[in-house]
Amino acid sequence: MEERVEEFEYINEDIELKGEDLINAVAYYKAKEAGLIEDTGIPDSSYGVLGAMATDVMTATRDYFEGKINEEELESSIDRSLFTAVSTIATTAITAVTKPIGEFIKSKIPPVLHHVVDGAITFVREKLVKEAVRLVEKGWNLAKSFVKKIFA
Amino acid sequence: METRNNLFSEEIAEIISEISKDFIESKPEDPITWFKDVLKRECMLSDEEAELKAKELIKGILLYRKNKNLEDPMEQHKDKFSEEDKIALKEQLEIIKNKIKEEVKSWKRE
Repeated sequence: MEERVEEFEYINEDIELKGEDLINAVAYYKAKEAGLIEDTGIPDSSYGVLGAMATDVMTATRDYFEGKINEEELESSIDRSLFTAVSTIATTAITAVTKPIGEFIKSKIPPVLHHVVDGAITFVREKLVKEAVRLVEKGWNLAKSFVKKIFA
Repeated sequence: METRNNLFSEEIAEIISEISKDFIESKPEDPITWFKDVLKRECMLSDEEAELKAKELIKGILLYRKNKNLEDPMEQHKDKFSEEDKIALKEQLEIIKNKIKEEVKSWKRE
């Protein structure tokens, strides 16, 4: 138990890990490794995000089918899960990709040219945001067969 | 393209089913060790690679769970997103959200 706390100390909060999150994360990572999801260089942590998102969408779907939540609550839950997933993936990708590249390039060129790097980073950042949205959509397309099989 | 997507969807369903079965049957006392072992086996990773990938994937899970508790996950990173990014993001999300909702509701009608 002590090892786990140390291992994930960069998260300074007590957040419960669910078994479903781990299962779904492995499935998405395996899908990426098998070529079912195009590898666009988005950080691997994104597949963990997709796994947790899938858990929440599955839970909301199950609750809807069991009559525990109504249509409005289902929509709200899906909305929240998608928004959280996309913003988490986009933020992680932007931090992981653009910051180190920008700092590295800027260290190699005169300050007068730094705005060119900033422009290029903006372009990359916009692409990453779109990529995050595409990845989440792909995540849903891949998961829906499983969700339907369980609940429909 | 639709056939291709459906095929992939069936494949991931199969992957999730198999891994879920393994999790249920093995009833791991230490889910993190189970997670690393499954990554090693399913993705053919070495011990070291599985350790690194497990950390990355769990980092993603924890970040998602942490962000989900925030009022607006993008607010704390507003310096990283332009207004145009946010508008484009919301438009795209609306499309995906409606697609998912319609699919889930159609299953209930079937």
